[in-house]
Amino acid sequence: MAERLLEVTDLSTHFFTYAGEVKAVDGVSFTLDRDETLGIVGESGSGKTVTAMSVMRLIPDPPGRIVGGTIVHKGRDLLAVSKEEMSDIRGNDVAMIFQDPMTSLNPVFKIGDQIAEVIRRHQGKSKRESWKMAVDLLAKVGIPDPEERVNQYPFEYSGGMRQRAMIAMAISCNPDILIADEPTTALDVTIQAQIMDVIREMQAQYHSGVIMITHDLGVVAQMADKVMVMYGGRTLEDGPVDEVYYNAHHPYTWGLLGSLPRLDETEKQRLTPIEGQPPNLLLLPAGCPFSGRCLYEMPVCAGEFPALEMVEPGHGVHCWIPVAEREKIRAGLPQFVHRVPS
Amino acid sequence: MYGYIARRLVQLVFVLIGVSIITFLIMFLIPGNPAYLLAGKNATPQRVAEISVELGLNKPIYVQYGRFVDRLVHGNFGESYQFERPVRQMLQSAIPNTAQLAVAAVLIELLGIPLGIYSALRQYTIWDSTLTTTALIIWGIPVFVLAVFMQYVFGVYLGILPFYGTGGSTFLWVIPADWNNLSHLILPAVTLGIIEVAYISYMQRASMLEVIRSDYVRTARAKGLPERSVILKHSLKNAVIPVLTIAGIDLGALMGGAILTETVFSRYGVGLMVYNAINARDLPVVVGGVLFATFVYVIANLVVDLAYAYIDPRIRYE
Repeated sequence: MAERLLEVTDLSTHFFTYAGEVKAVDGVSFTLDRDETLGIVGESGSGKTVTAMSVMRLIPDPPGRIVGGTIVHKGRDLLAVSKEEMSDIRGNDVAMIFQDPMTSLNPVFKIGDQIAEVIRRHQGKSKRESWKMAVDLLAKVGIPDPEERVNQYPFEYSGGMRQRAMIAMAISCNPDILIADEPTTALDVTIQAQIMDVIREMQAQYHSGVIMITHDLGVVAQMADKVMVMYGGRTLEDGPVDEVYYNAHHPYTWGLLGSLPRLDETEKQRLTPIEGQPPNLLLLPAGCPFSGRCLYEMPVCAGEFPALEMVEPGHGVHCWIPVAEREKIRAGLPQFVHRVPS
Repeated sequence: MYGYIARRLVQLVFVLIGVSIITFLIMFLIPGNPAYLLAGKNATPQRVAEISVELGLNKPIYVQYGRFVDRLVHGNFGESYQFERPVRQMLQSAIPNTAQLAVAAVLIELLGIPLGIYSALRQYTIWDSTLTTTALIIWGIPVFVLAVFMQYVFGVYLGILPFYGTGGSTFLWVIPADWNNLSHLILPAVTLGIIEVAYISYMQRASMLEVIRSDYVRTARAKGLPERSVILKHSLKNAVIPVLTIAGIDLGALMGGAILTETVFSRYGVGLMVYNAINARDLPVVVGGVLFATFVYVIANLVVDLAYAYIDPRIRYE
């Protein structure tokens, strides 16, 4: 059995604003094993990024605070360690790649400096050694002329190259866990595929566990072993990717899958949107956050959040609709067709 | 980098030419014929005509401008009507007093940088509110009001510092060599400096707040860098750029003479010299003062831009 790298239980991160308390993440649980990729999907404001930032303990306080739960990394609760211990862990055991490579690198330091700095910080290498390692890392993530490029500043890199440099920085200390927060959202499509390849290669080489945050279900299908569907700060459904895609049990997951363009449709057809607006996080219902937009809503839904129900081993769902009823509804929906990798 | 400096120096030449034209035109356009002024009230028309020829005032404007520039290039700013002394001599005695005050005031105002950073890092705490409010109040005080207040408190009421004039000797033109010199410097320098401290700390706070919320500072934290390094290395270098610009331009502006402060403290610098000359319609002195002020201002801007390029690679390579 693969080594368990991360076990997040009942994580709740709330933001205390003047307008009120925002439950950005509310009772989220998941696990991550070595060599495994977990995809977290959901629309904007669903709590994906806050979940990742909570694992890094990078939630800005004030206004945010992790109010409950545990984040256990190799037997150690990251929420219980001191700030100093946490900064030893960040960048070393748990590393993160951010959404916007254009603004995530410091404009006034050389790329080499920014990579070598992490190596010096966590591995105690000399300036010369860490600089050499930075060159090697740039070569590894596919930067041409790394000897030359290591001396350049971020503004001399393209968006794709900056993201490669961010990946080099993140893998520099061989982290157990690599969190990629929408790593390709800000890049154009051809570069996206390249960056995904780099992440996959690095994972294969370093045997990290990867948390891939995205709103692109195609990326999850290609990259992830398992997937967690988030909405309004809650997990609605999670399980192995194939299980969730072909045997979805939550109406929101149906909606997401139904909104994808289909390759097997020959007729021109409009995409099917999920009706309604994304929820206002200040005014979430006490129950299921998707109530109000759900086509199959029942009176109970808004009042109380349904408990976890395992429909298959490893495949859990939070929904009040009885299993038999869900199976019946799903049989009437168009089936998900795997998108051919581009 | 060298290409950048060279380009800026070429630009500088054009700026100076522009300044000389404008200053010349001011002289030319001010009503009244200088020949009449020089010849005195009861001069004969012949005498006025003679002086006109002597000064070349009968020549076309471009010839006059050429002579004006020729004189400037040779360091000749003309002679004061009022004192019948070369303007150059007057500048030479005024500049050290002004330079000393400017340097001292700017050194004081740099205190605003750590204050602003402290405020930003403690945003919304009682310390931050206290500092910010105090800064706004001080910034709102006109410099001559503060100057008179300082004169009264330290010069008259406490009687511990001289509140007007200059004295003593200096080392390297600006560094006070004795207590007499230093004591005359303190009140005007603190008056000017404290207002700028308020301004700089306010700007530094805003700039720091922006930087510590930026993505690259988040990246620095995600790398596990200690907080000290996140602030002192990754934030400070970015946050200090706009503030250094302000400080540098301040230095340039003050070098040209702090007219109000020098006047209130009767400190004989370029500012007071120009102020007196304006009152006496002593045109060559005004022109000399303005030219000097513009020149140091432009040079200070250049130095600031070079410093900026040194800190920020994006500018260096463009």
